[in-house]
Amino acid sequence: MNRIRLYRSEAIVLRRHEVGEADRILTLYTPDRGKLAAIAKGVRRISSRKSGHVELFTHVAVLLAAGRNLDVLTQAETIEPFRGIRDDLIRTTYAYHVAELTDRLTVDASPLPAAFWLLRDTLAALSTADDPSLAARYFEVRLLGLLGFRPQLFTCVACGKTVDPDGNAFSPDLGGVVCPACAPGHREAVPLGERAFRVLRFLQTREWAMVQRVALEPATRGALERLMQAYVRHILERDLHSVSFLRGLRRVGGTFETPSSVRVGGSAD
Amino acid sequence: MTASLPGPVARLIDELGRLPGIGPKTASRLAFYLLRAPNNQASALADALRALSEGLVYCRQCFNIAEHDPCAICADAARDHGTICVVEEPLDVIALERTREYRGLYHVLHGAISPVDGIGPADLRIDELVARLRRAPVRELILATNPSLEGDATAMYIERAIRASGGEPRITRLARGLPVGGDIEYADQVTLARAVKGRSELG
Repeated sequence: MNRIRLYRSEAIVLRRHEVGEADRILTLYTPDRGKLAAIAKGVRRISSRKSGHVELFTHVAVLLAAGRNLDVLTQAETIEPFRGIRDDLIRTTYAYHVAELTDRLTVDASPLPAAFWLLRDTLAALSTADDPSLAARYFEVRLLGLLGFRPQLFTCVACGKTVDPDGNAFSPDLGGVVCPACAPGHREAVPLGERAFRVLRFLQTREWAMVQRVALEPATRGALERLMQAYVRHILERDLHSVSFLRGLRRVGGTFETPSSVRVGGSAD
Repeated sequence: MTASLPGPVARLIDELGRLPGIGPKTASRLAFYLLRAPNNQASALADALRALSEGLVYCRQCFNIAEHDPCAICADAARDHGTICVVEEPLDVIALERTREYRGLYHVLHGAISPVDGIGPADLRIDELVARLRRAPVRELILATNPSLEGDATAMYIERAIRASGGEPRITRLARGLPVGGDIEYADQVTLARAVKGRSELG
């Protein structure tokens, strides 16, 4: 007879899918065990005691029983629900984006506590920040840095010389800036304006408390989004679902970009 | 295992084994049960399965599964045609019908938005809903998607898509709060906070 091995952890719910009659398999990101899958039994029943606590993107304290294949969720209690994310479609979409990025870039059982805290702080920022796109870019730059894909923004990735802020390009293949002298030899590199370059460096070197004060002009916001998308595509060799989803949102109406506190219809809160 | 069995039995085991929750052992048990069961039981099952693919259509108005197009609910003149309730799945229609509280029409989306799984608005019947409202405006649209992040995202998306197209119905979301037979001690903050905000007068 095996004794049941129970362990406690904090976790953020990255994704989930439905199995069986009323169960869900959760993909959790934890500080000490990295990414793991756990089965949450009965959570689709409306009277489940756990269901509200294991909603997507919730920061939750869990008690798990180690299983042969999947660990089993036995208790769950919300630490922070990040309500701002749930009440606004744009914020929800950015939360999907950071969760998808975490899921795609990490492997099971490879702990990286700094990535967990970055994810938690980013979800907190996404639920309140005036410009959620800035929090998403901050997350991308920092997570890639933690995982060994830190964009090189101080010396030219082709010739190694220190770069000036102006006239550079960014090469997704080489993972950094290419100086104006080397740029002609790197067709794949995308032009990087001075403003976008400075913001990118700022994201890489300053804490969120400082970064959140940056006010992005729409042109710079768009340039940074395209640049990071190209870099992530190069690393993953595919596009994220959340990127095309965000694009779809924009097509439906220009009103989507600015987060608003407008809630659906007659809801009381 | 199925290699040494007669063809029809092996085929039945294979087909049953494709069903959710049924493994090879259960599949062969079911197959042998049907083999020994009175003759009409197996053919009744076969008829029911055939009717599923031949006798079912999607209602062109609400996209619920039905025997006829339009479906019985959409064709019922006694129902309130000024209210549409938007749900994720056909089973949700059945759940709402059981309450006998709702007398309006439905619109079945066949899923909810989930960017991580690659399910976007274009995979759901949202454009059809917007077109339906343009054709025949209603007083009220009840968004009865699941009270999950996916369901909420879907509801918010629909609200914006309808407003962007110039639709002006009253748009409501099902109330949320504590389940019957629940325990406040175990409620999560989001549910409990919404239950407090949406509290109602006694008596």
